[in-house]
Amino acid sequence: MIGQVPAPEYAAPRRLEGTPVQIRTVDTVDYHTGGEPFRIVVEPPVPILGHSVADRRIRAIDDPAVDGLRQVLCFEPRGHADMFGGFITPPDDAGADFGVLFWHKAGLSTACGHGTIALGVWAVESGRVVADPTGVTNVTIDVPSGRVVARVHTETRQVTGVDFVNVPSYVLATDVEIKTSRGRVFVDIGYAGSIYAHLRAADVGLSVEPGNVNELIAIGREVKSLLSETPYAQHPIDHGLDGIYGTILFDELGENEDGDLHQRNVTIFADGALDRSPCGSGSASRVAVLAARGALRPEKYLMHDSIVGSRFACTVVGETTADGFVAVIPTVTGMAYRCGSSQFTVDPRDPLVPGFVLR
Amino acid sequence: MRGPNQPLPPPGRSLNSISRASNPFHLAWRFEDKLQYVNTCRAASSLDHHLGRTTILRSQDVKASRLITTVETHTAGEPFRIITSGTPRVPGATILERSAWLQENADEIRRAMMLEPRGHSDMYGGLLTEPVSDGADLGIIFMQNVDYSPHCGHGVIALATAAVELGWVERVSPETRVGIDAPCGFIEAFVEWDGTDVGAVRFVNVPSFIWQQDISVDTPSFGTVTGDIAYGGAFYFYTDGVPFGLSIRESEADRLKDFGMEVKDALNAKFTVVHPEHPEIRGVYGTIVSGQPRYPGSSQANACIYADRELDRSPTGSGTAGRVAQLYLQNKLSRDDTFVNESFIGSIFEGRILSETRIGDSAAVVPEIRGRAFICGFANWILDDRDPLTCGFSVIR
Repeated sequence: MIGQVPAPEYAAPRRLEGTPVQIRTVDTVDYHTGGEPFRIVVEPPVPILGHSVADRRIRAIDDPAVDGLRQVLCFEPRGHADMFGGFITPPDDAGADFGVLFWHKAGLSTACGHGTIALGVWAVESGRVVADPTGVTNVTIDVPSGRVVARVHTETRQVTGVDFVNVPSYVLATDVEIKTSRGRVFVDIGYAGSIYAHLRAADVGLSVEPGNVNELIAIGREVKSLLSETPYAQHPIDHGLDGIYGTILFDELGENEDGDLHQRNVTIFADGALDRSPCGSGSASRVAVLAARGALRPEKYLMHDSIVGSRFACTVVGETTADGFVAVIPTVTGMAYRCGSSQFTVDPRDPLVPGFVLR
Repeated sequence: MRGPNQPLPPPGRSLNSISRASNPFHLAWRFEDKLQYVNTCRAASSLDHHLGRTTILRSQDVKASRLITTVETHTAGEPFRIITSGTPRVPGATILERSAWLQENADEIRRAMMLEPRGHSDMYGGLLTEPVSDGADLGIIFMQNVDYSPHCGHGVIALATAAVELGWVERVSPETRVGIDAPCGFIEAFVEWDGTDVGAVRFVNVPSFIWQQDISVDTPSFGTVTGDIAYGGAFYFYTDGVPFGLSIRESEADRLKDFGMEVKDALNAKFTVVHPEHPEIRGVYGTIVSGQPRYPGSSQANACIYADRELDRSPTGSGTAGRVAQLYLQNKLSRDDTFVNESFIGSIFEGRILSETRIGDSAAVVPEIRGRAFICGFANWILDDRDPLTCGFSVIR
């Protein structure tokens, strides 16, 4: 359990000494991208200082007020172990529309594909970025890892989808043999901002279905740990990016009549977390691997479904070289829907502040 | 292919249903389609400009096909989402009838409010409804990740807290009475009120009794498990975690869920548990595993696994009621004792015996449960018809 162990005396709880949480109310807008939640804090009630978004993130990590705010919104009872969100900040300069700090149960992350898609929809739906009459509006966002663009499509006054252009993505290795508790298997390793191991679910006797989540999480964690100390987990240039971030388990569902590939996947990332969406950067790494293998042909799409039935449409929009590798520039198109807005309150007498998470 | 003078396509329904013809951007991003589309939009836009309708694309519609408002609370860590508006009027002369109507006719409300992405696999809540009995202020239909519960002690505490804190009833010091019609019957709650703040809540539970003692079931992973089935508003199976190496702590959450579900499923396959006076209330609702508490002053710790692998963060109100009934009727608890029950996260409820009564042929007691809840937010939930996941989904582990 992370968070404050509650005081036992519920009947007359005292204000906990030393708790950093001073906020009493915070407003959020909740979106989800393909099932993965994204809780947007438009006006964070605590200052998030720094001269750039990257700097704000570094300072926020050690700022108990910001971290307390994250815990209040992410942890139970207001959130849950799989909650994600973002604090809106000013942009680094006038070239971007706004900045964001991404957060989840373990802290602040540097990039988040599904969050970027949700922010694109929110920016246009809320009117923060005025929709372009052409039907394509670029929402430029400073995230801790750099400047990203969510290309928001609108039709008859409604947002219909968002393209997220990923960083150059490439294959690190193919057919890496590993011995798992479910047998000897071959995995591919792809980089798309993070390093992912790709494993056909059928090779370990599974399919990507909700009834198999515990088995999928277990094998995902196992593959990640088997590879973590090997050269396959190393980024060729930047050792800050070392490590297998996630395991992608996929089902191959054939091709449609237009020659687009159809696959279903589940990405097990971080510490056994299961992505409800088809996974933004994971989909980009699939595109890199499938394009390199010739399975995804030029100008064709990867229709990438998630375990809960949501879909990203992914394709290659450019070729380049990166870190000494032949790379592709993948685009991931998805949609986020607003599912609510909340005013969360913190009762100063509540002993369970900021909250707790299991797992 | 659409010509430049043809109307714009209708709003896309979802990424799953957008066809290439209606949306060139998503699934088939071909250059010629894009050019065609952009030209169409530009033509429409310049026409609007000419007619002075320059604002047509300035703000994008957010279609709320349905708006449901909730008060977010927790009792001892267990969430209780109170649905206050935005739902159809639920017909029925009793709360159980209304609960059944909701299940039959509008279960998407429960799914949307309990499951992801608005809720999660351990969410719990209730739909406010008109009272059905004299002396009741509110009615409540309890719901969780699979269906509707007959009773919910933590929900009663949360609801009474919200009723007093938000002025749904006339506030009286030092204690405000809140009459609640729950599916299992009428419940009277008393909320401490000092004129400014709400304190602890005690409620008089429905008559509670032992259904059967010393019963055993065989489970696939844990072997034979023996315990008692008691009723405190719902039927629970009570057993000790020690023989199975289960401690009542956060680190054991997954094993407690495995154990609880195996036991519950085995019990419901083997026994037909029916309330002698309310035949609609049937089946074992949860498994309650007891163990050592972490705080001195607690009588025990327990963990309740109910519905579909839900693990109660609170010590479970109705479960604590069934527990004090069981212990009192087995002469392990006296009328003067206050039973202090701790959850697996260390939060606390108190239970005691108010009086003795009978249910059918069984000796029964009327327990009182005491605990504390806090309001933690107010939400407006949007259900968007375009969203293929709008009615929620579950990923249960």
